[in-house]
Amino acid sequence: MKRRLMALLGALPLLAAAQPLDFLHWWTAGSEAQTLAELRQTAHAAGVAWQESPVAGAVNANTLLKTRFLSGNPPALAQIDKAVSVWGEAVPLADLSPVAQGWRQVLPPVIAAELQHRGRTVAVPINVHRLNTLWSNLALLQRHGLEVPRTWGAFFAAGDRLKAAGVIPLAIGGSVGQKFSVFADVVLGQGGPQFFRRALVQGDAALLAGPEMLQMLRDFKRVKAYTDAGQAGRDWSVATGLVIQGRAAMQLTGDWANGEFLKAGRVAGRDYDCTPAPGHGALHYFEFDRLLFFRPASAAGNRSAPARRGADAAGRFDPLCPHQGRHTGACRCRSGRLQHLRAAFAPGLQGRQRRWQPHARFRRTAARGHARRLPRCDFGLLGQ
Amino acid sequence: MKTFLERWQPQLLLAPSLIVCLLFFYGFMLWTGWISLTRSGMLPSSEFVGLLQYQRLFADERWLGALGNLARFAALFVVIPLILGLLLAILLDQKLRAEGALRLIYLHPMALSLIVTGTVWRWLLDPELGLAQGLRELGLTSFRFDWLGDEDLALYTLVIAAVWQISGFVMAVFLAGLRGVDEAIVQAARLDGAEGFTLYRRILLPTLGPSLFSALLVLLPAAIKSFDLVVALTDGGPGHASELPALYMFQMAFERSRLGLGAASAMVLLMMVLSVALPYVYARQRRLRSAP
Repeated sequence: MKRRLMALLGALPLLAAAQPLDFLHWWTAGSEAQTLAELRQTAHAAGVAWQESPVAGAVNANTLLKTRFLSGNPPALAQIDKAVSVWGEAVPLADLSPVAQGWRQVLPPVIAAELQHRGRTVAVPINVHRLNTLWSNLALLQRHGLEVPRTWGAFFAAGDRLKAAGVIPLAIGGSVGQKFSVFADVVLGQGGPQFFRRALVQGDAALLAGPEMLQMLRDFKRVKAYTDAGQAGRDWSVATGLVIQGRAAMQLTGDWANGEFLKAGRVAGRDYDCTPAPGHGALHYFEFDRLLFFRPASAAGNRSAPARRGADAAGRFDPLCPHQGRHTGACRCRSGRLQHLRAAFAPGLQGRQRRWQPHARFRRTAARGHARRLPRCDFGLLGQ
Repeated sequence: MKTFLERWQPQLLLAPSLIVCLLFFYGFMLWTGWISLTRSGMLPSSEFVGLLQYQRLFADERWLGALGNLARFAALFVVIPLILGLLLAILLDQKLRAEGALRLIYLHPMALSLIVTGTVWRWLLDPELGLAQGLRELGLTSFRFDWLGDEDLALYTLVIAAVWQISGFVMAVFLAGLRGVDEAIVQAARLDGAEGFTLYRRILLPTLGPSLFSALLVLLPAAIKSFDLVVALTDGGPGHASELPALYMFQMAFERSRLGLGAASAMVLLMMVLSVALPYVYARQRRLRSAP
C-alpha cells in the first residue's frame, strides 16, 4: 500500500523546478529505504528534481523541521506525525486542493478530514496503521488450554494462568508509545469510541475525573503485573521476539508487528494470531503518516506567526505565478519555488491530467496492501 | 600602530571569547527568558502573555512530580558521595603503597560521560541480563533486582549510577584537603597524644570546610542539571516516575511543542542553580574585600 501510494504521489504531474523539491523524513530503516526509493524513482521519472533530507528518529526530524523554518530554509514537503493543524497554525501550507478533487470519494472520510486545514487539502496520506491489535502465540495459548482473550476480563484470567505457569503473559516495549497503546486499548475496550473521544480527544474533565476513568486507570495499572521486569529500554520488536520465541504469550501493538512474525517464518492462524485488542470488536483504531506540503517562499524572512498570517491575508502569496505561461524551466519571480509547486498540483494547467487517476489505483492499492499486511485481520479499512 | 596594539592587546585577545560568551551564554539566557513570557508553542512567537507559562508550569503535576523527584534525587546524590568520598579519602590517606593506582581507579568513573554511565548501568541493572542474572547464574537462583522497571524505585537507580560516577571526584577533593593540612599542626597534635580517629575528628576534619564547600558547589548544580543520565538510564520512566526537571524541560520544548513552557521551566532551573552559586560568589567577594 505504501508503495502504491508513493506511485500515486509521484504520478502527480510535477514540473521540473529550478530548486529541487526537498523532502524531510525519518524513514531510515531498511524497509523504509525501499519505500523511499520508489518515491524517488517516480519523482525522477516525472522529471522532478528531488532531494531528500533523512533524519533518524521522529523527534529529531521534528526538531530539524522547526529549525529549518526558523532559519528560513524549510523543505518543500515533510513526513509528519502530528495533526496538520499543529503545523498549519505555525507556518503557511501549500494548497493541494486542485489535485485533491475526488480524494473524498476514495479516502475514508476520517482520513480525508485529517488532511484538511482551513478547508484546503494540505497533505497526502502514505499509509494507515492499525494500532489496536493483540498478537498472540497460538501454540503457547493452546498448550495452556487458553483461547485468545476477547475481553479484558478474559485477558486478566488468561494472564493469571500464564503467570502461574511461568510464562510472561504480555510482552511490552520500553517506549512511551508501547505503554500508551495499552492504555488506549483499555480505554477503548472498556469505554468504547464515544467515551474515548470525549475523554481523551476532547479532554472532558468530568469524564477524566469520573469513576469509569478511575477503573480504567486501575486496570491499566493491573496490566503491568502481567508484564516482565526487563522491559525498560526494550524495543517493541524485541518484545515481539519474546512472543515469537514463546517466552511471552501476547503483545498489544500495531500491525507493524506482523513483519516480525513473517520474518521469523511463522504462519498466521497456525503459529500466531492477530485479533482486535480485548473488548474492541470491529473497532479499527488507526494512525497514519502524512506528507505535508509547505509553501516555501513565505517561510523565509518572516519569523513570527502573526506577521505571516497578516501577509497571508494581504494576499502576498498569489496562488498563480504571473510568469507561468512564459517560461517552462526555472521561474525567476520572487516565490518561484512556490509557483512550481502550485503548478505541479494543478493538473489542468499543464495538460498532464491524464496521468492523474486516483480512484482505481487507490482502491486497488488499499485492498491489496491491506490483505498482504494483515492476512488474518482484514476487518475492512476503518470498519467503524 | 605599535602603541595601539600594545595598549589594546589584552582587550583584543579577550574579545573573541568575550563575544562568544556574551552571545551564546548570556544572549540565549535572555532569549530564553523572553520566550518564557510569550505564547510560544511549536515555534517561537512574540505574543506576550506575562507569567502565564509560569502559572501553567506550577499547575502541572508532571513538573511538580519532577521537582519532588529532584528533591529525593539531589538529597541522596549529595549526601552519599560526600560520605563515601570522605571515607575513601581517609582510607587513601593512610600512606598506602599503591595509592596512585587506587586514586586512578576511584577517579576513573569521572572520565566517562554520563551517557556512557547511564547506558552501562542500564545493562548492569537490567533484571534479565545484568548483575541480577549474573548472581542467579552463580547460584542465587531466587535473586531479583528489578528497580529499573519499578515506578517506586526507578529513581534510585539514577542515584546508584550517579553516586558511582561522582564519588571519586569527591574523594579527590577531600584528599587534597587532607593533604593540604600543615604537617606541623599534625605533628603538634601527635605530640599531644592525638592518634587515629581522634586526630581526624579533632584536627583534620574541621579543616575540610572549604573542601566540603567546593564539593557541594559541584554536586548541587550537577543534581539540578541532571539530564543525560536520566535519558540514558530510565528515560524518565516507567511513566514519569524518574523524571527530573531538566528532562521535563527538554520534552516540553522539543517534543511536546510547548516552547514557552519549556523556557519557563529552564528559567526556574537557572534560578535554582543561581540560588546555589550566588551565595558562594557573594561570600567570596566579601572575603576578598575584607582581606588585607
